[in-house]
Amino acid sequence: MLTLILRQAALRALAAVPTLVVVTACTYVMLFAIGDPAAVVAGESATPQQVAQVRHSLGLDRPVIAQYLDWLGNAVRGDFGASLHNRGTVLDLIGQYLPPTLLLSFLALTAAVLASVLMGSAVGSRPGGPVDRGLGAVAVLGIAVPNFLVGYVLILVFSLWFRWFPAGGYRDPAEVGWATALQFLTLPAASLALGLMCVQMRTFRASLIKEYEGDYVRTARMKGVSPGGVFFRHVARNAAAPWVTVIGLEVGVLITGALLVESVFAIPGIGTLTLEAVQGQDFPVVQALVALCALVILAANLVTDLIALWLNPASRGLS
Amino acid sequence: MTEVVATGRPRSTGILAGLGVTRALALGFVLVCLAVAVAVPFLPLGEPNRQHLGDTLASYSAEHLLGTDQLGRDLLARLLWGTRTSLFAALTAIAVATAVGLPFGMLAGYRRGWVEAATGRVADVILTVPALVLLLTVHAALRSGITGQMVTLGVVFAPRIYRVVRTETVKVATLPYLMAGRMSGCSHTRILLRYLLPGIRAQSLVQVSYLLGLSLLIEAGISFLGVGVESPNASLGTMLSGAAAMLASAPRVVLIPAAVLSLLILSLNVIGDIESKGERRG
Repeated sequence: MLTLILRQAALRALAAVPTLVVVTACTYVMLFAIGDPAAVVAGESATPQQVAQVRHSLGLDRPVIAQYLDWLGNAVRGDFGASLHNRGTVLDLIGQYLPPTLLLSFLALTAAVLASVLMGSAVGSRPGGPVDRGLGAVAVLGIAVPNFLVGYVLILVFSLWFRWFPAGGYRDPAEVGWATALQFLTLPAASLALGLMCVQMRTFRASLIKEYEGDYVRTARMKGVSPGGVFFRHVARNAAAPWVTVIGLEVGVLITGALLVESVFAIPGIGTLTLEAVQGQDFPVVQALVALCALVILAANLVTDLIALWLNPASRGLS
Repeated sequence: MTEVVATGRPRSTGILAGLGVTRALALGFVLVCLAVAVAVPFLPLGEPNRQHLGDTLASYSAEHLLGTDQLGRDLLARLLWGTRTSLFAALTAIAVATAVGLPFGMLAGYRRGWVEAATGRVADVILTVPALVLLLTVHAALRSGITGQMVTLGVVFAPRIYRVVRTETVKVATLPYLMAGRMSGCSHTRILLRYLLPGIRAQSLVQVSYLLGLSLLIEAGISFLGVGVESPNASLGTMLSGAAAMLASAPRVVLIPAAVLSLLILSLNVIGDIESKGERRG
């Protein structure tokens, strides 16, 4: 079974390579051929001759395909070039801005996963009850309200009225300790987690209800398996597969959400870097960030699909 | 996996069963907002961008029904004009998405074979990058303004409409009435337009309703970040931009546009939710 999953992993990873190439190529053409990095470097007061000179010295007057292949070759070796605004290499910049985003996303995703399992199984085992209807209404609301607005409401209630948490900013846990760092991360992580949690809870609930209708549940009950045994040994495991897939698909939502939430709470993370790079037209940074984003999404889909495969014996074949 | 992507976020299977009132309210709210968006130039409102710097953050009054914002601009006028800007932007995106996604989806589901394989690959690639990140990239390269960005968003959303339309077309294409049409000698064009289109309309509209909500969210997102609708023009997104500073002194300035935006997205989701429940086959 392990070899089967490994083989699937290798196949899927190979299939993702052309997608990555096409995505980065399209971005490259848009940024470096349609956009004009030379004009950005030369500055607004530059004469056309100066811009042409900069274009030549940066190698931007070569065919765009040759430029892209150079970029791709360097990127594979971990070299994403340098910022157009003398902010150092792109890789250093990303490394500098990555930790807050990683920490924020990890906290939000963990909270969402745990809460959705607990609440999803509470309501999915007894659909139609008052708890189910109540949580259902909350979920519909939680999905609709954009997470940066959730952030504003949380700031208003928990930092301006109750004064429990700071209204924004970020502290490095290595410098101030985890207690303080987590205090700064609680509200942003909560605003990011709410929407994810609601989507995941509804998925888990729906697949639990569907699994409870299966013949194997009746069989298990007739041979005397306890309700808890039916849930843990039979139903929950099967119901988890579609839910895991949805978590993978929600990674895109998580990235988008982190971008907005970082802006609300003034967190110096990848979202902030993206926004600075976009506003300053720092094309090499934007290009690397899009590549990183596509890579993370493809990897997340791959990992969650493999977990779903491992959870569902039917899709493993007879090996 | 394809199925989950095709329907966007998972839909409820019974949470909202029997809540006919909710759906009516949701539809009513969306229609009222649309009516206001169309009628706003004819309403007796103040100039939405005029600043009264001696009268900033004023509370509710007869002159300014919802008060004024941090630059002394009339909040009601900005709210209504902002709703218009946001809704029209979202509708632009949806129009483009439908114009691209619907024909390709129908063709792929009807002809299958290489048409489906080719269009499906393109859809997969587009879906790899989140819409917001792609719009930021487009803004960095082109500085194209909100209309250009909404057209781009339409292209990004086209695969989502394409997938639903394709799945539905495949289902409908095997139904007896379509076979009957083909046997009675209808042309392919006639089958696509007069037989298939009505059959897939309901599910496609559900997806359109959901995507309209998502477009509103994305417009608000990029305008909030300052790379969408340009200041000083009002949209539901720009009204929230830089609003954190206002939370302590006048939360109203943040909460009113936030509530309208959330209610609109909620209503569109509710409409999508219940329609899909009613239309779900098997």
